[in-house]
Amino acid sequence: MALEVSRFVAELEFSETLLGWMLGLLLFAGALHVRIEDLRAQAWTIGLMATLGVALSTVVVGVGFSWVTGMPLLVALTFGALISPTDPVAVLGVLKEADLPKTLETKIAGESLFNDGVGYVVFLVLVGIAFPRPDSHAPHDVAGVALFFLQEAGGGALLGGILGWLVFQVMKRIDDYPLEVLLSLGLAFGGYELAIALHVSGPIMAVVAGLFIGDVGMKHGMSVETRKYLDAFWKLVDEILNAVLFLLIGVEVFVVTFSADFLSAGVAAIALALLARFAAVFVPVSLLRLFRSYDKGVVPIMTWGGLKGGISVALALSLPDSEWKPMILTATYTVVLFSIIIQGLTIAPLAKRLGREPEML
Amino acid sequence: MNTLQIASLLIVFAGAFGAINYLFFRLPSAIGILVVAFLASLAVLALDWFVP
Repeated sequence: MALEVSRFVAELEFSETLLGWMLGLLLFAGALHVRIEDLRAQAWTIGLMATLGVALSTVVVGVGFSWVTGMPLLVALTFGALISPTDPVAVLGVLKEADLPKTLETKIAGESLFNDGVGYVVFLVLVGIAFPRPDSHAPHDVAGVALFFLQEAGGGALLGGILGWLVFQVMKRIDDYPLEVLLSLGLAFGGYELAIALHVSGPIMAVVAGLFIGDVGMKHGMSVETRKYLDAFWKLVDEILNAVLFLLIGVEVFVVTFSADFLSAGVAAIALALLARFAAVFVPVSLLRLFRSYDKGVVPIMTWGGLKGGISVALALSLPDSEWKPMILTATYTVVLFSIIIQGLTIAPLAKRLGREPEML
Repeated sequence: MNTLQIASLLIVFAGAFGAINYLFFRLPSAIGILVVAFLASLAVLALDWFVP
């Protein structure tokens, strides 16, 4: 029976399901609930962590993993790129009870939204370089990479902004909540597909569009009733998709190869991922500490709370087949499982202990 | 299996595992579903190993 289930799970095409539409919806829903003023207040922190942080994390894991397993550096770097994005879902759900300051919550949510988008683009670039296909149009030189980034990230943001604005203009003239929710669905689904067709970043498009509608859209284009329904609808979409996503992660174990080597590589990966996450948090925060102050517990909370989730598993599964893929899959899976179960369940008590700051007078 | 059947299966299991988690494990919902799914998968693998 296990063989049939294995085959079934393998055929689930977890990667395409997730990367295809779940990711777009999840990011849109997540961005919908973030207020732009809150984001702007943390802009430098989030921006630096989502870019410099992702780069640092990729390199730390890549170099370390290559050294530990003997994997070629480029391949190890693709592993570094896919293991760097964090998944806010589990963290935010669990941290609700820890009663964190709003600024920290925004940092975690905001960073998570953007590092998914950035990590994805970095991953695409590295895969193109590490596994070159004759017909591939992935860039190989520095100028090409920079251009690729600009096109993907910039294009995605631009598209998200334009589509978000267009939908907002329509919503402003309508006061009918089922219709407005339908419009937001159209924006999320349609916008994501359009982004892919135009070769720009779907994830980034979803985040920008979600931010727009969630902030400007809600403030100036919706009645109180619509706001309530839109909020509730997307919150439910978020929760349900996450439930299914975590179910999928749970059964992916059928596709993972268990061997002593791979498992020890997995354990090494856990340690490396934590170290990399620490670097990704510590360096930007230390740099910015020269200009502003931070709550005491920021670094440990954001390090330990940097949970890896579905997107890492999906990216690992989407790798072209190679001799290293099974090891990468096992390592990814081990890290994700550890981070969600062990880190996920202990972050709330940790945060409660560290975040307990007497209110500033 | 077509897409709709797969989607139905996933939703049914997500709900079922979520309920099991809520009633027996009391972990936060998403994490709980992951744990139950993981344990269930391991159980299937183990069963297969003992009863080929």
